[in-house]
Amino acid sequence: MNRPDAISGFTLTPDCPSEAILDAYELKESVAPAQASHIGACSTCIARLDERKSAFSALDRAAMINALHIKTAGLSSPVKKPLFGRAIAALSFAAALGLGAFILVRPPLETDPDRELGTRHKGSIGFEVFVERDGVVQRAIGGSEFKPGDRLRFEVDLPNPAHVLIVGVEADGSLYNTYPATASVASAVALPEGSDQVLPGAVELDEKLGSETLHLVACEQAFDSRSIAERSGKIVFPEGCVESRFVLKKVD
Amino acid sequence: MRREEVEETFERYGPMVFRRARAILGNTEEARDVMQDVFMKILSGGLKNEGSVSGWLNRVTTNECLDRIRDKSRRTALLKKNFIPGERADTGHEDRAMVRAMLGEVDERIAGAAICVHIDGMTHDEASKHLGVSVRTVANLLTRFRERSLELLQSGAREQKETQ
Repeated sequence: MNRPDAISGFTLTPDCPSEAILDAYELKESVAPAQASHIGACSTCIARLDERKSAFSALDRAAMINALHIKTAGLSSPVKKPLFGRAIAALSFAAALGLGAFILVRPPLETDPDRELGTRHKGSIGFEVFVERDGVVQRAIGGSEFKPGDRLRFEVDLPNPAHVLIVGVEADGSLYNTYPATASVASAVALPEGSDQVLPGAVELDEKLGSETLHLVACEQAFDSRSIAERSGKIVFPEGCVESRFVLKKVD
Repeated sequence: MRREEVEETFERYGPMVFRRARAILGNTEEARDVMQDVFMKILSGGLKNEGSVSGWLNRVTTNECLDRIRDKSRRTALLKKNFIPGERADTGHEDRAMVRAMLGEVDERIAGAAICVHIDGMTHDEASKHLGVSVRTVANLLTRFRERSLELLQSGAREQKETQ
């Protein structure tokens, strides 16, 4: 009995091989001679193989390869987490009070309150964390456990162009600059709108154990780390900016 | 890993991984995301060569897709879209939409058998070789898949009646 294929509606005859056989044929793996000769002579099977290639070719492959390259290659050269102590945090808070008013020209970016739960609304800022441990890179889940020495990289989704900064808040309330990673004042980096933007550099988690929160702060206008401070477990940032959080638990 | 190596791996295995993710998820955008995750695994952990590369890639891609399907909100959306009682068509396309929605409701072995036969179009014999189980086991797994689907359809119909 003839049947349709799973994607493109090709009508397959009973002799037409399954997709798994086409996979093996495509990768030049071992395929039964009868099936190989059927594929070679079957216009539908050849069309199925062509359809796979053309669907794949229609993707923005260069961007995907680039993102993969950054995520994998960049992880082998992490930046150590810089120190950014309480004294600077206190100064930052004072500065934040003076820098409270930002003028919005574009519609404000939507904040992302559900991010820690792993859901994200379309059009909101997105913040993904990748972790490398023992040579394996994985997308990290907020609230999960990490170890000293884990290397983190970040990926952001921005519905509009924005200036972006990531700060980490340790269990004791001290702040440190995560992106850009610098021990001195960090200026927010201007990024274009777009999804899956992998930020350069990686951060290696230090030995200090406990809960830690990474805050992605995105603003329409330029700002720097002096305008961010920690207060009672929350961070204060310039008015009109939006934030997305990622909580990690560092255990031994 | 050098950029050339990333590119070579991606170009060689990408069409296959993308095809399988599209077939299971029925959505190009999500298939693209799954492909990215699968390649993160390949590039960070290396290709596993037990059996065949295509077999291993199929398993990895299937598991990534199943993780997505198990997302409750997506599953609910699919159920609403495809399981309004009395409106289900019996064409191959509609049947596959049903299979996709049900994949998140069953355990991995059952889902694997359903994907092989209902999505990939394998015979029971091919599926048994692919999954490394007997033909009889494939048939049993598919029976359990059908029973679970029926159960869910019936409970969905009841819920809909109650809300009307």
